[in-house]
This record gives sequence, structure tokens and C-alpha cells, in this order.
Amino acid sequence: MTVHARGYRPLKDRRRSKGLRFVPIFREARRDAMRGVLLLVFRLLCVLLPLILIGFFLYFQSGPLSAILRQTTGGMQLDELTTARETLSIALLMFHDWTALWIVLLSLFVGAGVIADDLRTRALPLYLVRPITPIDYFLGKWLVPVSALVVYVLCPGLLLVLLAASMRPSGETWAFLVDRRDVILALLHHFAVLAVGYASLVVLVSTVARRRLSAIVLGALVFLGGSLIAGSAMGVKGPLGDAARATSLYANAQRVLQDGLGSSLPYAQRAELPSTTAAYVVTGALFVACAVAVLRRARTSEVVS
Amino acid sequence: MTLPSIRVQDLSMWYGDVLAVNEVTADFGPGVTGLLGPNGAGKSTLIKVVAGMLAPRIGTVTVMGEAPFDNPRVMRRVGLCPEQDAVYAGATAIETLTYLTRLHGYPKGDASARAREALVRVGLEAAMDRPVAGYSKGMRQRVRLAQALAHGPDVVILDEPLNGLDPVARRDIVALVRALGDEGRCVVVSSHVLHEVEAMTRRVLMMAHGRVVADGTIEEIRRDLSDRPLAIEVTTADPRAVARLAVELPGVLRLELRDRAVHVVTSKPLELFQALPAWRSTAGVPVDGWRPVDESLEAVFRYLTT
Repeated sequence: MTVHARGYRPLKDRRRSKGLRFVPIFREARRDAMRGVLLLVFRLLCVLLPLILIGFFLYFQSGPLSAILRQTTGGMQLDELTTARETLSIALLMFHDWTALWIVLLSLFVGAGVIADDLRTRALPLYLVRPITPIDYFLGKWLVPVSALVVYVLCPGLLLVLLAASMRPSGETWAFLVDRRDVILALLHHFAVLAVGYASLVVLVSTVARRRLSAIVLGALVFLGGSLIAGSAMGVKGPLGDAARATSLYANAQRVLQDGLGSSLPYAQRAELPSTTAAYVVTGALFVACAVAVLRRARTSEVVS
Repeated sequence: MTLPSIRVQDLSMWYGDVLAVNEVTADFGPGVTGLLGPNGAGKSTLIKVVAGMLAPRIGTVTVMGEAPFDNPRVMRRVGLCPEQDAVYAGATAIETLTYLTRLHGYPKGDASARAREALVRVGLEAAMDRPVAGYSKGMRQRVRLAQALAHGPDVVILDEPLNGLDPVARRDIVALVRALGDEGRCVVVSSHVLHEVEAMTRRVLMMAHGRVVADGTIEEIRRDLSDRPLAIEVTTADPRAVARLAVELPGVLRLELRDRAVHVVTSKPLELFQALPAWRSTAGVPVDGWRPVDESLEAVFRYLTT
């Protein structure tokens, strides 16, 4: 019997009309973004090496960690628990400082192609004629760099916390974790600001550039430009200086991390950072700009006209 | 009475100052319909509106009784084969199709089975596990076609589906398109290669400058153009004798002598059709046969768009 003869047939197969429709988009985009041996090596090296090195310093209470701690305390003898707490804070700040450039590059390599590849291969019509919403498309793509940052920013930080806790005498591990829950919260907070900022920026440039390589170059220029503006605004007082300093996404994330860890550490005071409010406003604005750009793109096929 | 699968009423679309579609009204029922027109005729814009990719500016479009734009219920029942090379080169054909079918809401197992079935149907069973990057242009075209069919749509829109295919593949795809039409699906095939469309269907919608210039079967359209001159080829062993008689007839505009044939262009073909048997029987002119030579799509299209 033909469709013509039976009229409009009702849908009775196993198709789901609701649910997390962005998940397949995310999985496919992530698989595509993470493809390549070179990228795998880069991903491992840029995070694994600093993590191992800082983990070594933390475990043996040696190297630059102990030097900074001595500088912090002015040579004053601290009790063992305070030493462990302060060393962990320094280790976390040091890790994020050492990996800052690599994380920017990693975000660009992973996220630059998520929308640009669809535009280049003209695959957008394949999404537009399927029963997904532009929000599904946006979430599926935006979460790709976020998921990479979970692995390469959040997880190493949590591993350092676990390492510090595991070094406590038997029976004190859990108590240390409970005592330093502020560190875990600070790491989550730092990750949220960094991931939202970085992911929004790379997805935004991916949408604008339409080519993976162009998106990487444009993204790198924006990151660099933000850092230069922030650097030139050192010492500038008032909201203008604050806003200028907040153009550095790294500085925004550092501000949040330092707020969480306590800002009395000299290691963390090398640079003037934006206010917490400015960090939030810039991160939020970037997310909104990214969402608007992707949703607009996902609603039109004129790019393939 | 069954409603048409696609109904377009008074549709107008424009991009800035450019009017792409101008007050188009058309119905597409089950079976294959050719959408014809030169570049810039408005075919692609009409396809995008029907496929739910663009919202109508003026007028209405319904697919299976519902407005298609931003409507998941309609999108589940529409399959679009885009003209552009819109496939992921890094993945295999089966991976690509499984992914795209999952976006229709199928669980992974079902999506994979449907993707496999569609790839077999377009003749890619042997290559489906190879990366699309290594595919020829024709194979990529088949992947695009398969992704439009994998979820079992009732409305299939094919934008230049035979581009880049070798003759054997063309024959296969033409057969597939006809089979889809025979199954009762509403199949819209956009093309500017007329003989391709002629091989798939006799029903066409012709567009030029954003307007519909003809709608119906090729024969119907040609009949409606009765005021236009018709070219008739008369087969004869004595072309000069036939030409001598034909030139006396009213309405004859042009004569062309060929080897064992005369090509007559006339605005009054009926006069010629009535005269030909008489010449054979009474004048003894050896007329072997005659046939209109411009009822082909090419000729109709030329009349309508120039």
C-alpha cells in the first residue's frame, strides 16, 4: 500500500520525540575534534608533564614549591598541616600558571573546527532538515571544548588535591579533604569560569571564521589581544581599568581561583587581576555572544546559498 | 480525496533586493516530480522552504498538512539530498549515516540498521566501512542520497542527485528514484539537466526568474503551447518533393532538408498532419512516417524560458 493510499501515516516506530538530542551531536563532534595522533601527543604532553613535575614537587615537598613556601612565610616554621595546605594551594596555582599557554592552544585545536568544519563541508543543511533544535546544535558543539577542559584543567587539579590528601598520615586523608573542601570548590569555580570563557570564545571564532585554521589564528589573536590589553591596563584604576584587565580570560579564571584559595600567597600576587564582578560579566557576555552567533547560524541556510 | 504531500501557495521569498521566488503556487503529490529551471530560477530557495530550512516570507507552505519551518514533526518525514558535498570526510559512510539517522531520534542499533539498509539501497554495501575521504565524487553523492533515505521519509527532496555520477551509477539512481516514486513517496527532483529528469518522470514544474512557468506532464505542457511553432520530422525517400508540397501549406515557417527526411517548423501542425496521408495516397510522394521532434523536455523548456 502506498503512502498516497493510506494518507498520512502516524509515526509508530522507535523514534524518540524528546530527550537529550544534543548528545549524538556532542559525541560526533568530540570524536571529530579529538582525532589525530599529533593532537593526542600534544594533549598528553602539555598537561601530563607539568602535572607529573608538580606532583613530584608536592610529594617530596621540594623544588620551587618549597622555595615559594619559604618566601611566603618569610622562613617562619609552620606546622605540618598548614604546610600541606599552603603547598597544595601553591601547587595548584603553579600548575595552572605553567599550563596556561598550552590550555589556550588545546582549546583552539579542539574547538576551532566544531562549527567551522560544518560550514566548510556545507553540512549545516544536514542538521537543519533534521528534528533537532538550534539549542541542541549549540549545546552539542559548545560542550566539545568544555569536555576537553574537564580532562585537562579540572581533573589534574583534583588529582593534585587527592595526592596532597594521600600524603597525610593514615586516617587523616578524609579529614584533610573535608578541611580543604574550599580548594575543591575553588577548583570547580575556576574551571567553570575558564571553561565557559575559553569554550565560548573558540566556538564563537569557529562560527565567524568558517575555516578551522582561520579560527585557530583568529582565536589566538583574540587571546593574545586580550592579554595585551589586560597587561597594558596594569595600574589603571576604576571600572575602565577593571574592564580592560577582564579581557584576559586567563586572568579572569585566576581571579576566581585566587578568591577560592585565599589571596595571601605572594606567588599569586605577581600580576594585577580583574575584579570578580568583571570576570563574571566578561565570561557571561562571551557566552551570550557565542550562543547568539551559533543559534543564528543554526537557523539559516543562507551560508550555503 | 487525498491532499497533496506538499502544497505551496502564493509563496514569495527574497534576499535583500533580490526576489528569489515570486508568488509561486504549486502542489506536489505522490510520485516523482521534476523541478526544473536554469540557475537563479528559485529552485533552491523553494527546496529550502519546503524542507523547513527557511520560513516563508509571504505565502504558505505545508508538508503533510503542516508548516515545515522549525517543525520536528515534519522534519522526521522529510529527507533532503543537498547539492553540495555535505558529508564528513573523516568518518566512514556507515558512521556518518548512523549519526545522522540518530538525530531523527532512533536508538543507536536501529539507526545503524537503517543506515546499513540505505547504503545497500544506493549500492554502497561494499564500501560502507571505508572512510568517505577515499570515496569518488559519485560515491559521495550516493552517501548524500542514502542519508536522505535512511530514516524512511515520506517526502524526499533531491537536489541535482545525478551530479558527478558515471553512466552506470546514473542508471541505478534513476531506477532508485523511480522506485521511490512507485512506493508512493513524494519525490521532488531538482535539476537543470533535462534529459535526466525526463528519464525519471514525465511530471515537471518549471521555474524561471522565480516564477512557475509550467506545471504538468511534459505532453500537457507542450499541448498548452499550441500557439508555438512545432517542429515535425517527415521521413521520406524524396525530401525535395515533400518540401515542395509543404511550403504551400499555411503556417509553415521553416523547412530543412535532411538525408531521407524533411524538418518542418509550422505554427499550424494540424494542417500538416492532415496533408501528409493525402500526399502519400494521391500525389504518390513516398512519405514513410512523421513525428514531432520538439515535445522533448529540452524543447519545451527552451520555449518557456526564452
